[in-house]
Amino acid sequence: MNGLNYILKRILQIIPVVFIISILIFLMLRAIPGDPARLVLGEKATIESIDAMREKLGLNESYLVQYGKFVKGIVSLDLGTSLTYQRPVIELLRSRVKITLMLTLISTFFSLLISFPLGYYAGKYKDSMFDQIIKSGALAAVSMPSFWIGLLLMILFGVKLRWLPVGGWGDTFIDQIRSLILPGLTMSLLTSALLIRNIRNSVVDISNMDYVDFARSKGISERAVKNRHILRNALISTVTLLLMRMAYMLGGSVIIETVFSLPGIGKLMVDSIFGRDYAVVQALVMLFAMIILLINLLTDIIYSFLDPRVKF
Amino acid sequence: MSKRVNAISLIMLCLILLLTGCAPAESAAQESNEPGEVTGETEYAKRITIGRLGDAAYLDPNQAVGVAEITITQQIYEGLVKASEDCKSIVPSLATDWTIGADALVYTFNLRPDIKFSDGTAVTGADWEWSLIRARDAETSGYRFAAEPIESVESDGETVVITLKEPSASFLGNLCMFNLTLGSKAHWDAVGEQTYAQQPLGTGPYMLEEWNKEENILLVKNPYYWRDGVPFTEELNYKVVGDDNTRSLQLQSGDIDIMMDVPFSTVSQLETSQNVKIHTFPSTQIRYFILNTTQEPLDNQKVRQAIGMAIDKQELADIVTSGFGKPAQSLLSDTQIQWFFDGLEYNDYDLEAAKALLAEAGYPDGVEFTISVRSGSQVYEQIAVMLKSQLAKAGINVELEMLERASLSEKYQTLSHEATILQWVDDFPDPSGIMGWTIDYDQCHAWYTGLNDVDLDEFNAAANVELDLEKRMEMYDEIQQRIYDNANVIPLFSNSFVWAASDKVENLKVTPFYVQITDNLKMKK
Repeated sequence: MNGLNYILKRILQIIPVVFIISILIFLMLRAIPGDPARLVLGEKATIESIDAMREKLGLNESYLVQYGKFVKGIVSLDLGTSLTYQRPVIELLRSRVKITLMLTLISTFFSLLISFPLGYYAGKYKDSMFDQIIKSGALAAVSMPSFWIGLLLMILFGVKLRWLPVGGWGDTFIDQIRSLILPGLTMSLLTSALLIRNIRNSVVDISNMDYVDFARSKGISERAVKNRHILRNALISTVTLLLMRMAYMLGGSVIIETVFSLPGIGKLMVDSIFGRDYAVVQALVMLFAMIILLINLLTDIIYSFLDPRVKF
Repeated sequence: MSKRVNAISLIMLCLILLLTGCAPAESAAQESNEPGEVTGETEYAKRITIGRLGDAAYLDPNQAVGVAEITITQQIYEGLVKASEDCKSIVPSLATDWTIGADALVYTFNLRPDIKFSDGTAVTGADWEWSLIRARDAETSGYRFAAEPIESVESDGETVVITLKEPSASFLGNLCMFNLTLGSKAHWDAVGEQTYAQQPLGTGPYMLEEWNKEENILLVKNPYYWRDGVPFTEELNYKVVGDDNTRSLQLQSGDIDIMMDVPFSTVSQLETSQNVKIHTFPSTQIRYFILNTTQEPLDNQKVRQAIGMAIDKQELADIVTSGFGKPAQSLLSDTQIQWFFDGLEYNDYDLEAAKALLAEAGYPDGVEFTISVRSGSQVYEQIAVMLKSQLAKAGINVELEMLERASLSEKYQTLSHEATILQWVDDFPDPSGIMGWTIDYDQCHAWYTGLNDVDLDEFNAAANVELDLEKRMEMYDEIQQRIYDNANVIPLFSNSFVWAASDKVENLKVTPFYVQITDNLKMKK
């Protein structure tokens, strides 16, 4: 019951944060120079056309009225119509969130697949040749720009071998998964590198703990020591790191999406800011804020399962 | 655990191999491998995929439109007349012939019989009246100016009679614009304004089949098209690939067959790839430098002229366009041969003369100003950096201010800038558009330079109603010279359009106005 109370309290705490974010994004968008009406109409528009467009977009109304409409929209889940795409924002988000979500999941999956075995063995065989190679590899993966890796992967798997599509999004589920493999892999390299370093260091630290020696001295099998005592404890900081990366990835990566020509929300956000598409930017910022807040909450909850010492 | 990890890894590896392996090497081109037209011995593809920079927002020629929209609407909608393929003359489209009243007020067009929209419904006089008046009254269209001279439109289905508010010699040229085209009133009545922009219905060679926003627009042949045997290719798939490198890789891998908008800097790399051909087309695209004449020292005509003389346009064209451009002196493209003034008296690049002119203007120690530059565009950034270094040699110190598009447009449209670099492509075969923008103070402050040359403004207005062709051409020659002398807008260079395509693609054509001619576009299988 205590746990439930805690979760409820945390959810209630989200409300004022979201409220403050909504005011900030509303004002910041209008503070930056650039008139949406001028942008839509182009440089050849007459002053009358610009006025007519401003009227149509509701930009001539007071900030209070505009903000009121924005809040009302959020509450009623009617986020308005995108200026650039001429479609309801909700509809625009639905198709794009799916892509970004799938990309995040695939990328996380690759990250786990790469980082756990490599990180564990690098830690277990600390300072060995294997460890040195993994450490250097992780450093290289953190340092290399993702658009460059993306292009290299596309040249190899798309142009030379022709195994996978060179960017774009597929029609069928299989095609969609295929088109996410290269961007997912590219995106996972940075996450994997961060996770590998984290897991390795945790494994090194934990292996030196007394309770690990104690467990061994009790005659517990090496596999049980690894699973129950080393990896489980290494998971605590790794989960935080991974969830933070997932939150970041759910915000969409404009670079990955641009290079791989994927219509996800990262590119949508950047394009909408450049296009002064107020409705879309506001909706996306609110969405990101919710994702971050919920993932933080999730992290705390997962903690309690991983570490019995953490109590609500 | 390690065995389990190994097992999982193995399963995943198999899954990845399965996913990658289920695509044969030719998968990229499979869309094009549907059974297509057969001509003699050669078999042609049913579908051609064209990779482009961005998606359209609306497919309604009378709402705000940019190049992404125009490319598509030009395949769907047609007007009374159109520019010829070389853009040097005006040729019939849905009208067979026309007469212009002696007072240049009434334009009468005879229509082709039995024209149908792509849904099979017949075109009526009401469609013509509605379409042209809608273009005139489209408050939220950036191109409304082309239709603004219209007073009234009457049509009985066989003729269209357009009466203008005041005489205009250029109106026939305006009618070549993409927004003065024929749409279906019944369709608009049925679906409403917003849906109409997403579900276009015209009489053009292609019609919209599928539109996945930010992914692709699939056009299919209009079964009721009035020209027999045209277009050749059944389907055109316009695919959005925003990144230049990715678009170029997709062309090499066969994911796309045609690559629009090849950046000059990637041409040499594409030229080396097998099965890819570079296509260049004469264009009316000109990059130019605008100076805000309401700000000191740019309010001084001699200073502006000195700036013009201190720019090495040849070097700019050579470096920025990798050899696909040439210096420009007139704001009108030489592609518009009838109107282009080849006798223009202009100053060559001359640093000493520029310095002397600055001293004469009262600035012997040189001048300083800021160029606001659109960030994120390689071409604009390159031009700006080169201008800075070239002008410095004449004692003109330039600061560069990088701004994203929205901030930049706000800045120059409100005349808060000092100088910026812009470009345009002509839309119709008449000089009145380009000259009007540059001179007309009421419309947009002489193209955001703030120069109110009342005398030139009146002369330009007179040229716009002059019906004697010879005389009109002379007037525009003079106008081009006077714009050059005013030096509020300094032309820098013109450049070709550069596209790339698979070597199987035939008859790829783009006009100097950036209209893709798709009549005989085809691709071998």
